[in-house]
Amino acid sequence: MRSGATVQTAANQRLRAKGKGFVNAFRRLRINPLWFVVGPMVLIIVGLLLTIFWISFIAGLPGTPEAHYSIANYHNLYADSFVVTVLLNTLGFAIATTVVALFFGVSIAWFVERTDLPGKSSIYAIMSLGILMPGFFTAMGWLFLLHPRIGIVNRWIMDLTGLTSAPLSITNLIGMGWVQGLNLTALAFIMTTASFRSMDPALEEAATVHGASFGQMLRSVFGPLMLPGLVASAIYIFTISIGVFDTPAIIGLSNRIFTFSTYVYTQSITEDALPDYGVVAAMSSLMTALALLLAYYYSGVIKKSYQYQIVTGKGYRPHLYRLGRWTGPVWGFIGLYFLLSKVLPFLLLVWASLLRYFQPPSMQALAGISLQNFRDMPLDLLARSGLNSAILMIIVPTLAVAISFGFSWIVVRTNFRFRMVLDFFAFLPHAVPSIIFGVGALFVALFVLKGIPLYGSLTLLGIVYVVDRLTFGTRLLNSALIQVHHDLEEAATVCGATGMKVARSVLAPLVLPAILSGWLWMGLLTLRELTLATILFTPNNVTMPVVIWSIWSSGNYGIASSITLVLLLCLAPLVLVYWIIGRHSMLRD
Amino acid sequence: MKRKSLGSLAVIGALLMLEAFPVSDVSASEVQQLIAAAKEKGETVLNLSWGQQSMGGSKGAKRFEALFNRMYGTNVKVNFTPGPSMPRIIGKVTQELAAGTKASTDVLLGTESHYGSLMKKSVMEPYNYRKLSARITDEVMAPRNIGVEVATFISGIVYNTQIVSPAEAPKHLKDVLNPKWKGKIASTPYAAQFDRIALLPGWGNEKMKGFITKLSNNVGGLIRCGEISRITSGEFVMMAMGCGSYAVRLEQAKGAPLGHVILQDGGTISFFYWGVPQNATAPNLAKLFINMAMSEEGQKVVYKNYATDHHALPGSQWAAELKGYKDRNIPILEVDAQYVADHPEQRKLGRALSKILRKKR
Repeated sequence: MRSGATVQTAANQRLRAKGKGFVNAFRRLRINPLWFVVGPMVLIIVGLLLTIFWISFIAGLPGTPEAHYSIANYHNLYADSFVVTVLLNTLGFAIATTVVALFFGVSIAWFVERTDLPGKSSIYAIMSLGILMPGFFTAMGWLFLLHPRIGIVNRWIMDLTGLTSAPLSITNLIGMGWVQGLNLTALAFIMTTASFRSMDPALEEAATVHGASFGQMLRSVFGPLMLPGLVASAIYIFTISIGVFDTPAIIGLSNRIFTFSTYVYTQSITEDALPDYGVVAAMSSLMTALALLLAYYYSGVIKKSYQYQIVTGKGYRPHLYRLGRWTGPVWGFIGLYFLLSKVLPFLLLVWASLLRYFQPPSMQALAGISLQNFRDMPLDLLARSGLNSAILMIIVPTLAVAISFGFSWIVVRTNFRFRMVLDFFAFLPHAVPSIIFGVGALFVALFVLKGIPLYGSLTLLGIVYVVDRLTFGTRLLNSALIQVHHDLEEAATVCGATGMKVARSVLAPLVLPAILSGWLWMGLLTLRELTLATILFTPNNVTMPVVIWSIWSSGNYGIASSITLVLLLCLAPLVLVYWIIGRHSMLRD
Repeated sequence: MKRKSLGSLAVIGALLMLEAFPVSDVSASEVQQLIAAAKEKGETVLNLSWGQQSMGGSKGAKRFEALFNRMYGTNVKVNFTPGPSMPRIIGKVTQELAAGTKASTDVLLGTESHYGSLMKKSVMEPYNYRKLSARITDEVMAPRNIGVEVATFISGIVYNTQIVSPAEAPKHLKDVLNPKWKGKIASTPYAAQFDRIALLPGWGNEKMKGFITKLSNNVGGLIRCGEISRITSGEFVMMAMGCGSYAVRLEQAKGAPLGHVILQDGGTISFFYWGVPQNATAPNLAKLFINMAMSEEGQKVVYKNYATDHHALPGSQWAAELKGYKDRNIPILEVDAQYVADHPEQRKLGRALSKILRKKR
């Protein structure tokens, strides 16, 4: 009679043998285990997109008895001549936003990663914290500065020069792009720092030896090396701008400039007094077509990725440029950015939190400040939503980073025939406006997966958030992986390492900085995610941004500001801890 | 056994509380039945969801919770979750019902526009609320018994009193076409209220379209109903039309320099409805909640939360304001859910007007 331990050992051996059998079977079938991470995600993305496409052919509220198939959504959309104006406005706004975000984001990333700028580690922390500032505060802040009627700067200029009309205006496409670009600079920064951090100095040294000026190096060395990262962040920011609502709603509508999001907002309010998601889905088809074009261009850049491999096994150590007397002006430039994009909205936040009703800064208003808004905060609601947000903030980035790594590894490091198609799938969630993505997920959870208790759960929010973050994660990791030369993998493979071992022991450590910063930023982006949450929330899974937005949109700016301030204060130490850990890891590597 | 004793005590307690709030025998019996049914089905939490400003939001929900438990001798928890816009919440509940899922909110808040649509759908549970209280009469019942009118409101022009004096404020709708306001007026992206004004004597749909085309020249921008603080800030000097005098009163209570004027052309009274979705988690508590809101004390809480109540209910605080308009011979038209359902052309007009307003001229 065998003892229990022996039985257990035998069972374990059988299991291990069975496990090895599976692994061998996969090897024989040449199935990369990463497919088990990537495959389900592809299915979810395809499922959601097909749902959205399906909804675009439904007139009436999807899933309800009145809903029926029709091409009316497309007819209504394309028969409306105003759509052309909307598309042109959206294009102008998105271009302006992308230019502003890249100008500040890439410049600051360069100074932080490639120069000896003193105190630069603080920039990470401020950038991270700044992303939590709701976009509507920034938009309101700029109205107070540059509105033709109430803009403080305009008033000063008019008082000084005697002008009878305001010389500056924020209520145009350029102004909107300026405000939104400042909001998205942090994203451009984080999406390009990884590329700068791991840039091979040998190429720069070679250029310097051959007498190249800084301008020539910028054009011939840095530019091409940075191209994948730049293209990725430009496309990412461009597509965010297409769907963003805050700035177009606050600044654009105030001068009747409609962009995609505000047009969709007005279109979805129907004669039937119920939201019309069909027309939104139809509009999304346009956006998906645009995404196809962008993804096609991006795939072209990725195909030439061997040109951008700069981290080789021959040893690399990024060279830091000495700023010398330029230190002051560089800090001045960065300081100006912080002042415009972080300090001013933050001051406005503080100002609004102290007021009983919203009013521009003045001595009269100063006399009436109080802490009443802090006392009026709905604490039980905040506790409930705060817990949900905290859980999502930890789980979503962890899953998103793991899955993104799987996607990026297959796209950048394998010869899989349809890897560009895979990358396209990873990009699609970002191209489809969040509102319609949320509606698709709502529809699937309610009507397709009826037997699974997904609807109203944190799990549903988690899955949709992970899908939504996938584009960001893969853009970041694509750029990082592209720069790691194949030599390193080949060396590991020659030494007998398996594909998984190479990914885990060679590639993952090299791209660890990108993984860490990706995790942190996806955590912050998850914390501030609003559009998806407003579609999918129920009392059980309500999140903090939904509470803040709901309070803000009902006109209670003071309470919304107070909550945001408390949130920022709570997260400030956490963000610093994240970055200390991140910087420590980078130094170790 | 112990649970049964506690249950009996709760019912006795509830009956004693009903003694304190005089109601007819029929009503008391019906209320008692609802309390018993709620207990039997284990309904202890009432989920509510609407906009944070509507009905006082989370702070208002606390007040309702206190009154509810005091009125019925219960220990019910009101779980309030601020929601998106009314159409979004109604759409969500409609889809939840179609999918066989419980509703996100046990009490559905909507205006006459929403309930005008809901009466054609089988989303709301028809219930004869008249049985609960003598105060709930035919006049306040929603068509097909799908809810009750819990509060009324009237909309006019909102203006900044620091920039526009009451004497300067428009008296007639045509006054907003004055060139001195060019570029300084805000309207809403959905052309709120204009489709209603078109129903008033002397107007009409075609005349309104012509008027909005002219107004479009004077409008500087579009803001949403919840953004009247942009009038307070001076970004726009006035909003034509506003979304309810109650919103202005709420801001005025905080000291905001806002004025509200009902035009001589006339005003339309609109309604806030409450009803219980077919798929409510706690339908019995929800009905008791609505009954509570219609009581005299409940209406006081509604007014405290929302600066309005139902003008037709005895003890209404808002009725005095309405009487003032009538005394000034301002034509007043009541537009309820039935009226909306009977005039589908007004919805189309609203859509057409918003299309005119969105274009810069």
